[in-house]
Amino acid sequence: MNRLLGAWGEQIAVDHLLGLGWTIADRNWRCDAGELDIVALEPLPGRPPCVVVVEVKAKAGTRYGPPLEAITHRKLNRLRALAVRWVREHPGVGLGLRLDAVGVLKSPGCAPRLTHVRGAS
Amino acid sequence: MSTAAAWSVALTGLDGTMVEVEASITSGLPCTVLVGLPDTALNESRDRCRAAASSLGVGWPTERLTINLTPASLPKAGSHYDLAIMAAVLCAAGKVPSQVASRAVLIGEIGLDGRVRRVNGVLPAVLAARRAGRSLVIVPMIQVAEARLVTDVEVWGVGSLADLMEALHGRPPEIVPVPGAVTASSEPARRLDLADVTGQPEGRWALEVAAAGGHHLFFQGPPGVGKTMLAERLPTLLPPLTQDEALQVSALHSLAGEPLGELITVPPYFAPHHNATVAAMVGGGSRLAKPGAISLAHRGVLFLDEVPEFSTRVIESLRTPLESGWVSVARAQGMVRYPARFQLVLGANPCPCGRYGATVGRSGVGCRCQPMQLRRYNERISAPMLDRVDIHQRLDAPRRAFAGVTEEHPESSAQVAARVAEARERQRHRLAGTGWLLNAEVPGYYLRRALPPQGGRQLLETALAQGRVSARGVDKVIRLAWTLADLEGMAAVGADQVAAALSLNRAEWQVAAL
Repeated sequence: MNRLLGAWGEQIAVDHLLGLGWTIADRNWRCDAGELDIVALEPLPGRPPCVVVVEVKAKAGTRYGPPLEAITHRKLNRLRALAVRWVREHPGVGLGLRLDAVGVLKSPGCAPRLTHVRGAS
Repeated sequence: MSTAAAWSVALTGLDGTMVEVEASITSGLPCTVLVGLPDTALNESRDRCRAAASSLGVGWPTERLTINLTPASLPKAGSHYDLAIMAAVLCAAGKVPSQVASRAVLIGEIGLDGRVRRVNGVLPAVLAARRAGRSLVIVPMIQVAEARLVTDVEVWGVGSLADLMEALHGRPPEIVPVPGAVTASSEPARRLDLADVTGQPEGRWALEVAAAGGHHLFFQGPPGVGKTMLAERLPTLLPPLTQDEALQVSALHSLAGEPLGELITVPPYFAPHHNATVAAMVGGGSRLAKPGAISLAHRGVLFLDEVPEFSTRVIESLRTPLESGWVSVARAQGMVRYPARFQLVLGANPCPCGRYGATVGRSGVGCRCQPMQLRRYNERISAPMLDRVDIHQRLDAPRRAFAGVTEEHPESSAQVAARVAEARERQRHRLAGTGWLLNAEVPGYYLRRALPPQGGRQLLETALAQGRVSARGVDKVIRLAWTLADLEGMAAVGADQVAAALSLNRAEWQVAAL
């Protein structure tokens, strides 16, 4: 159930990023230290694209708080380390590195609400 | 991004500084940060406010929320910022208009269920708001009566978060009586009266003289003669506090956490137990000092029963405040200055067993203390301290149980207070322009130069020559003689007053002779 919700949220996030004109470089990239949901490339005018690691949080309701609140300080630290590792293993892809967060809130009877925070830190 | 501000007060002793609480919502991961030197209780405020907001379904910003308390360099402590923080956040989130929040001063703690709880120091905080030119304060509903003691300030009470939202919309909630709130006359305290004391004519007389001239007083006598009874009736002989004094005294008591429903207009009475520490006596606490016993006795009476049992350091710590009427307590987060002008009443047994000097009855039980014990006991009362005490009165055990009842009706406090007021008026008139109000405040050099006794000089000379009074003791006797003259309505000090004053000082000589 939770995994389904997560996959659903990630798909919505991917659609959103594609809609922004970004390219998806990687999805569900794993290593022994953990997993990155989405690695995207944001095109920048006149420069190589920026690598953006996107963490997706999907929730079925606000009973346990808004989706993005689930991203704790510890989780952010781990994501940072993972992001650096991804860049090291994929040399030459893009220039610069950023961490974004996307929250997807499923609400019954209407379209899911999406929050995109650029440069989460 | 949106920002909003609300106001509260930071108290440093009785002085308050206006604190602006800013809330700013920026994009970012949901997170609430509180900056501006908060202490633990204040840092927990964001959790309290957040829980209260969500329990009432008001909603807490789901973005990055920064709350700043300025001036940022001033250390802030306590839970009374909750209301201001809540107001600033609600405004920043656009849930309420910002007009009221930007002009009101908010003081109060919020519970997790959204109730607004009482906090200490509302009165000094509202006074500080008035000094800062603010005309509207929002306080916990339960403390509206206390805040209303300050004139010229509009007071709104809020009992809950819902009330707060109403108030911020500009609709003051109706003031409703809250259970547990102290109102003007909810406490019909039994009034003490001097008429309760039977016998002890010397003790009553010493008390009256002390009240009239503002003299510090030392009662010495065996257990059970009525030292405490007399001491706790001294405030009933003193004139009521003036408006300014009453506000200051009430503010001190509010800081100490006493619920106030009306101004304290009767001089306070405070009798700390003899195991009191220096911090309890002069004021203390870990971050910013709270008022101690001497400040709670400000403009009133501080009674130290069993003085020899107090630790020497505690007694010595009273010396500076006795001189200056102020006490400055330094703590990690700053220096606090509290007013502490009190009238001191000391009580002591004549010896550790309490029977020294008592008449040996048929049972043959007298004092059983060793001479060395006696000496040590009396040495525990420091000489510099005794120097500041003008009246040394010995109280002896009454010989008849129903003396006062069967003979004449003892005088009531009101009768004595009237004489005291008259005597004080005479002193005020005589000392006009000198800056002193009471005989006890007049230093020796001025006494001897400007107010020498007309008669009784020979008595003083003899007493001095015989070593019954010291040179400083002469000043005390003259001071007391003036108070006696004022009580009798005399324009000058004569031999009678000097003789009586010498007798009010006699016990000191007896103690010294031990």
